[in-house]
Amino acid sequence: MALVNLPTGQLKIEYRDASGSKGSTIFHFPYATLASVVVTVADILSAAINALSDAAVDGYTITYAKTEDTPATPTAGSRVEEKGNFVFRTANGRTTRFTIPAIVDSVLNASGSVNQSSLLVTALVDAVIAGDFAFQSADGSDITALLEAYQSFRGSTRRQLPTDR
Amino acid sequence: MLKPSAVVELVWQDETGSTAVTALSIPSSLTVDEIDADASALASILVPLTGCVLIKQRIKYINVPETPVTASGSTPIARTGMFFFATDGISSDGLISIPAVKDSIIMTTGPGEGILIDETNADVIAFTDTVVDNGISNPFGDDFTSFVIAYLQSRV
Repeated sequence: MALVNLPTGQLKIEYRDASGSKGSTIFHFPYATLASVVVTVADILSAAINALSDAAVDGYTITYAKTEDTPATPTAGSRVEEKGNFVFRTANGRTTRFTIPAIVDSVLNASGSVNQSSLLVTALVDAVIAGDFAFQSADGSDITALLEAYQSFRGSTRRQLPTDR
Repeated sequence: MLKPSAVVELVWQDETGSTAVTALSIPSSLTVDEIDADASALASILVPLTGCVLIKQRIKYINVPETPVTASGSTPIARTGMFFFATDGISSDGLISIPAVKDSIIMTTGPGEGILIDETNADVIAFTDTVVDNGISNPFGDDFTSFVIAYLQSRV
């Protein structure tokens, strides 16, 4: 049971035409290629493509993906629509958040808030804010403290509805 | 410009097969290996907090234009150039599609008139050389070693 990388990473160059419609071109590169190298190549490719296309290059995304080769069995009754929301303060006075789908009941209070003294939760929060990891907010600010954590429920998308309904 | 933060996506699957993502930002100045180490360590902390199982991890570096972009012509995005490349390996060849290709690179004479992309056009040569010379591959990791043919296709 392990996350295994795909043979290639993916470079997706995105475009916008005169009407505002979007399109993309996908390139692949060997997974071991450094991101800095791919960025250089992406800039060269973008320039070359600009000469071929009337659409404007509207940025690109470089993705390295790994997949689980033998996934475990999810817990009975687990539903991704049930979220654990973790909202953090950042050094620049803003907030950043992430969600954990199918948050386990054992870390929830009766009100639906997350029990912040749970050992599982303190382990997560300590790891995120203590500098063990390099995670930050989208604008590059350090994560400094947990602001709030709570359970919420999202509406199911059409694809998430039961197929045997 | 490269955004200051790359994105780590952990993809989870529940009992029904539905999936959801936990997404976090991390400095884009870090290497894939460095980000991968943090992502794996975080995932091990998250696993006991969810009834889902981890099925995928993605690391994304995102580049955005510094100023708003404007299309250089009125060609619709669906007017697509299909560029076919060959590999040295035993796997199949691969293709690269470019939307809204300019009329100026389409053949105007001969049996490929209006359909084939002109392989002798300088901009086409520049693009195909860039692909072949810079380690671009098919999805199986076989490097493209030569350009084969390109033609116009409508992809609505």
